[in-house]
Amino acid sequence: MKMRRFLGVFWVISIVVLGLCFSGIAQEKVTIKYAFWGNPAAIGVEEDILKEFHKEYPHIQVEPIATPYDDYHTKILTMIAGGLAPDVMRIDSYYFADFMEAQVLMPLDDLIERDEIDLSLYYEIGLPDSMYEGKMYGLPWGTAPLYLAYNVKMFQDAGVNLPKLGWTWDEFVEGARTISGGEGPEHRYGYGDPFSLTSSILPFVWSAGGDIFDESRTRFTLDEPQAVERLNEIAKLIEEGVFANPLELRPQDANVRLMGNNLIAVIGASAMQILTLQAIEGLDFGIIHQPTGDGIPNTTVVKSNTVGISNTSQHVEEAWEFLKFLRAPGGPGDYLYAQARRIPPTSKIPELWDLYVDPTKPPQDIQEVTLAISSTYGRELPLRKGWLEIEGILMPTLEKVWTGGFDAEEALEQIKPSIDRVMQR
Amino acid sequence: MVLNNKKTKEVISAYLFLLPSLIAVGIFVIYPIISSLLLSFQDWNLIGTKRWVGFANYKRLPEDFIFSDALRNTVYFTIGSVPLKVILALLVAVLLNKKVLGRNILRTIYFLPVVCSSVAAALMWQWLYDTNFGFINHLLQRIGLSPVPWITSAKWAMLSIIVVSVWKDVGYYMVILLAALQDVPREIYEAARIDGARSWTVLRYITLPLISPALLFVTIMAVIGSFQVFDLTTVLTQGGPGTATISLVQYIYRCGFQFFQMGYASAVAYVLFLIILVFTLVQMYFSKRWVYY
Amino acid sequence: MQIKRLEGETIGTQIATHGILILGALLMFGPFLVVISTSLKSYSEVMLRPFAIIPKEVMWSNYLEVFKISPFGLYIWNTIKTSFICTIGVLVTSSMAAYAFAKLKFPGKDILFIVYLATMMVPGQVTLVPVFILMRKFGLIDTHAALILPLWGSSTAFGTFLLRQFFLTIPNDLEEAAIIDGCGYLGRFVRIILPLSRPALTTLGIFTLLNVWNNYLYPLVFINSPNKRTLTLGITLFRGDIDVQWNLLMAGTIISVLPMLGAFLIAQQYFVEGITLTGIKG
Repeated sequence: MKMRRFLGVFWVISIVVLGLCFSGIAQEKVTIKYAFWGNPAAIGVEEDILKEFHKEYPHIQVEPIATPYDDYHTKILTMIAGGLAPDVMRIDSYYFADFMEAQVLMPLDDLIERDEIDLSLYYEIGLPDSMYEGKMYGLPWGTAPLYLAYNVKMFQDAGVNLPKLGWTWDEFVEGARTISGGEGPEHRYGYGDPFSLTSSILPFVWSAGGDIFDESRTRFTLDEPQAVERLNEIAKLIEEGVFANPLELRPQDANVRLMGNNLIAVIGASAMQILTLQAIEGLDFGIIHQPTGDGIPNTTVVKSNTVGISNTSQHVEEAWEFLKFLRAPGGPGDYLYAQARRIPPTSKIPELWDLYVDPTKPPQDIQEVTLAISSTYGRELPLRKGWLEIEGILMPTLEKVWTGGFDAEEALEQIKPSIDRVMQR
Repeated sequence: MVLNNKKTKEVISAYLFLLPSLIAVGIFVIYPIISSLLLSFQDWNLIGTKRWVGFANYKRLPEDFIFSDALRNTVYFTIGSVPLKVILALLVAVLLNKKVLGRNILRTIYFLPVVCSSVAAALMWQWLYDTNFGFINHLLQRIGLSPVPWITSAKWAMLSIIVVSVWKDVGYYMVILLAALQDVPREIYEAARIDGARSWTVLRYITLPLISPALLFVTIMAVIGSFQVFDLTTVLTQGGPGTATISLVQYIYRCGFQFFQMGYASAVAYVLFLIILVFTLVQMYFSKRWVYY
Repeated sequence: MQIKRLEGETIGTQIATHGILILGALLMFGPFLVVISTSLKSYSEVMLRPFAIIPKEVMWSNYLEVFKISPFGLYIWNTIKTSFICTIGVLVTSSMAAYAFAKLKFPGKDILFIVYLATMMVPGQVTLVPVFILMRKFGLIDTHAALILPLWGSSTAFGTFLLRQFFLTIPNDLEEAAIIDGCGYLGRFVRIILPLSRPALTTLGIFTLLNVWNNYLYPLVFINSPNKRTLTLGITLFRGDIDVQWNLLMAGTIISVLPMLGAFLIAQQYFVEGITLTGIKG
């Protein structure tokens, strides 16, 4: 009797074990690492995506590596330097060219063609930020314009027309002049921004016909007349109190707070900042593109980051499956991101917009404005190797122009040698 | 023969006592330091291949205006904050060594700023210093004064950082000096009192010499720490306005992880190291005059 | 006429002492009032003026939110674990090394001491990549050991310096009694030096605990798994790239400060005055 029992148990266990082995052989579990940045809410979205992915692909285990944005690239750089590059990683466009110079990501053109990813479904303006020397090295993530947000109440109180599609630099400045005024801590500004290259300086210089580099991005051109003139004009507007002092706006969400308190009428606003604006009770705001120049409609920065596959990944197929899930146009990732309502859709699929736009909150015309920017008013950043270093040299110098009464041309001449050194690297 | 044995025994024992720390410091600190030292003679963007460039990184330093600004800022910061920290820490330690009401609670309150991380402290004070929303300007306005751009003007920024640094570190050095004061026997104070000595005399001729080893420690560590200020300048002012407050370590970090030039960053670090070393050796040399063991 | 009190001090001095201390305490504590106040506000209120010390609506729920949004309890446990292990290690290595530097003679003593000091002059950001590569060689990436070991090294240099200064003030004659009893170096170390150094050891313990507790760089770079994160990382996550959840950030900060504060309060009892040395006359 005991023997019987024993044999019975033995067979059951053997069958179970064999079954497990076979299922194991059929699909070996592969683990890949996925690095991204975000705050807890953003991390929640990524985790949702991972949950859905694991349901569909149980044999691929994706380990998320979430890091605060500020130090994200330090972390992945260290990991890469130490030989432990994540299989799938997101890279901010500012860093992209430098990363690509060291061949961190693998080219994806073949895989894109093989699996018939329709690149035309993406907003074209975002694609170059994921390309290096003509080849695709990742799929776009977070393609979005850097809008301008305006405080409806302040415009109405001053009797100025609300900004409309196609508004020009002159309309912008005139409106800002009319709105600004007031004494001391109650002083109202027509425009306020920390004046980084991306948020203000390039759009304003572009509307004047200038640029930071030439077409080939090998020559520094910010010291040419059109650009210099615009820079000096900005300095004057700051001095007059029409534009807020950019140094005051350095704390992370200072300009949003000030707009919330009806002290700044127009601020630069990324998609994330729109979320912050929406969280302020009672604030009615709208969004618009950057003011255009004479015959120059494309003055609004459209920034696009990249998610790619590491060149040293041991599991390229699995990483690619995940990347497709995450970023293919119209793929599950797109829908989940749109549902989370944190960043606008990166693909031209109408349902995504329906999911993304929150009918209970401003700005209601976000789709219209975004599409207009994508087609007419948007421009990609002239990114290149050493972008951050150039910005690191430029910003303190320009700050002297805004606040120290330096002429833009002189200031730029002083730093020309340092900039040239970076450009030639 | 006997003497030789004794001396050898002492030496062997000494190295045995040193062994655990030699392992800890040798493997996890000295080895990485030497690696990064070697990096300073190379050009490396962290992910590509390394290239030996000899002294090229060092030759670049004199022309680098951000480096010279960072150096100036860091020296200014050290000179501005270290004396304040040491003197205030000493004052508070001496006072809190007496039988004061609520002594334990007071000591804890003074230690409170030390307990939060420097990033948290910087965020806290960024909030306080905000020109439009900060509490300090709010108070100033209440009494009729105009708001001050604490962290956004070149005039005030460094001063504001020094204030935060002193606020944060006084408790730290106070604790060390308190510990040292514990070892001063009560009888000495009583004897001095009986002899009619006044507080100042007691302090200068009795207390200070007796805690001078700890005082030396505090001074040296304060200098070493101040030269390496990073979190405060990064979070409070991001090194601005312009380059008015960027610190050396902040610049090192940027060069390495944002400008993709780890080799150059290491060169700057080695220069910083030499500066701190010189300062420290000078302090150690002069310490023979006023430190009693 | 001066009225002398127990300590031999005038009432005037006593009042002045208390006054200065209380003023200082207010300055030390003041900013925390702002933090606590912000941590109890709703996000909307944080963004709007005017600034109010007492929130319109006291949101204790912020503290619960912090635990809900991220596994804060787990972060606290991880941080406690790494801090304590590292501290014990540092106390052992530093005290032994400090004894050698303070009380023993051996060749290379001064140079070695300078080397220990020198290791504190290179900031962590510079050695980050070499340390990472080292941890990788040992296979310790994404483990708590990677957080403990490098900090064990750097804190030992610090601790050795600190304890050496204190050990130097312990008179040599105290050890002589033990030598006569036939105690070797280890015996003298354990039976004489250590017990007399309670305040110094407590101080080093608290400082090391604090150093690991608040360290940000190593957890940032060495830890990948969410369930191995420490407090500093957990709190910093609240700082998004553009949006900062100030109220939650402040709540998280307060939460992370409390345990260390508690540890300090407990440690206070070890700050008992050293044994009086009246036993040694002349």
